[in-house]
Amino acid sequence: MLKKLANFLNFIIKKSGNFSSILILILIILVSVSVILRYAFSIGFIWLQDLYIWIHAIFILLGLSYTLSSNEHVRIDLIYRFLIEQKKKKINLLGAILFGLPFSLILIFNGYDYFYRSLLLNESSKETGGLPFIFILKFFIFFAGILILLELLKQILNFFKNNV
Amino acid sequence: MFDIFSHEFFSLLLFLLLAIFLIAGYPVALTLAGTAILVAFLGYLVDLFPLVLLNVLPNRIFGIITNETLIAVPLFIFMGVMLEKSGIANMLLESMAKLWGNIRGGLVYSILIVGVLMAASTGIVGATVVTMGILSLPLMIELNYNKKISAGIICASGTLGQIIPPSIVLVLLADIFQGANEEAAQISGNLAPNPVSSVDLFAGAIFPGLILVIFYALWIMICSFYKPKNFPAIKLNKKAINFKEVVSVIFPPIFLIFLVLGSILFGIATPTESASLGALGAIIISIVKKKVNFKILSSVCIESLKINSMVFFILIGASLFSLVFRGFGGDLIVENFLTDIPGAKVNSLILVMITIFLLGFFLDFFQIVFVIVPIVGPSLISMGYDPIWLALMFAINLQTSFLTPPFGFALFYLRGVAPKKIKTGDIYLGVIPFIILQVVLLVILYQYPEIILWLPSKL
Repeated sequence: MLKKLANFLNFIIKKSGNFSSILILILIILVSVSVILRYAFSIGFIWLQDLYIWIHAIFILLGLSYTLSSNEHVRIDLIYRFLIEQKKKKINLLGAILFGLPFSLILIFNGYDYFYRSLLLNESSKETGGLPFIFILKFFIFFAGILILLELLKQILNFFKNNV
Repeated sequence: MFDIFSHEFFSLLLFLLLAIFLIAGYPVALTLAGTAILVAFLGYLVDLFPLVLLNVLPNRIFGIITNETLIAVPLFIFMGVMLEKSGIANMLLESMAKLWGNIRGGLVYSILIVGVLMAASTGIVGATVVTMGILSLPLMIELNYNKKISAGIICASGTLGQIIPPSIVLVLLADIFQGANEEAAQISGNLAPNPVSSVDLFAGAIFPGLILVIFYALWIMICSFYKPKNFPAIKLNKKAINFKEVVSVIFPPIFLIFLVLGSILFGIATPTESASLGALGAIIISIVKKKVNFKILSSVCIESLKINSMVFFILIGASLFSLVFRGFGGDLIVENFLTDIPGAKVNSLILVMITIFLLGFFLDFFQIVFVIVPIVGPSLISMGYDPIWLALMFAINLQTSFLTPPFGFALFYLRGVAPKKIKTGDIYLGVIPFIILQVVLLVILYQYPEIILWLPSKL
């Protein structure tokens, strides 16, 4: 049961990461197109600029949990790399509970407020001609919090799955 | 004498706990955020910290990820990873070695140039040092190059890329210094401070960067003059050098990097725009050279995602950390401390530089810059230091720190991939001349700040 849940969580994180990695290509294309339009044809679209800013933001937000799960976030490994596997696991468990969970919970609760307020106000870009519905972008901040929480839960589950 | 329930104590506690938890080895980004939340909560319990301050977290994140200039970061990273994974960086090094191989020490110069180009495009010390270490170190050993000099030049040229534009490090540094600059302006009542842009830092970095490259090259020249047997020329079969082929390999990536840099410096395009063209160019070169397939492209995307989220997560964690630090009034404490030092202007700079140098042993560039600059930057700038000059002094200082034994990052990375024949002592001894050259440069830049400031003032 625990194992199934952990695998399922892993599946979600990996998929969102894979999806997100493709966004960098879209980002490159959008910025390049906007450069070419501006310099070759002197046309500038505010919404196009907004769009690539959004793509970049979502690229980063979805990537946070993915990078956490593939263990690619930098650590200070002066001591860490000499530790035995069991000690490393304990440090990661403790870190996930002491640091990770509070951070993701704050992000989720405040992020939800932040998104909800934007939704109520039907906030749109400050610049005329920019994109409407900023709440969609703000939703991803809240969603990033959820993904980070899921990833941390997965790590905690994995610890107990292997150690109980 | 010392009040436990004071703001001073909690500011100190914040740093102390951070240091302890970081050393334990939990990922830096979450440790920064988590320590801040933990201490904020403790402070709230004794009525020293308004917990509502944490509510601005999503707004901070929103500001970071929708910052137009910072979009240059993933694009530059993509460009660097693409050139590396498609094997173009690799071919570049081989061709350079062929081209210059029959000159005494030619391989070392090739490494210097390729290392600088590579590192400039990614700004990630580890990636460059590792790639160069895997590619060229075995070759140098085989050719009987001096081990110390081989290891030294790889570490030095790998870290040099941090300050050679268009490095992403400078893009991030500009963003952070702009914030510090605005605050300094508020402190000193200057309503319209000159903004600090990444273009300014790129321009400012050009002369110091060139001077360092020349220093390095001169040092190699002197060594090869006095100990020629340490620098054998490669005896290549003349037929093996196909000049046309060599040029076709070397030209495109170098052209790409100059195009990107040139368009930024001449004000034709913003860093973000140039970076996108650079990334597009890297894809096109790889396609033309038939060096790319779906699998490679997707691994480049995944790798870029990982590096980027690593950087931005630290940025978010550090932003939360400095938010809490300010919540305790820590920034005022540091400011008072720095201005109370006798001979405040010079000595506080020296103190900050030494602190940064030491932190460079434990933390990567991003963590130091994101945490330290917002805290000490405004005070130093309002003492009269030019923010552009200060930013580059910090950058060169950190680059030196990454080279310095026994903890320098570059040394760890090289140790990780170096053949067993190379002793750790060889690496340590090999980098020392380069460290001395770095320190000489810092002194020169202190005496003659116009080396940095002249070009930005002409933009």
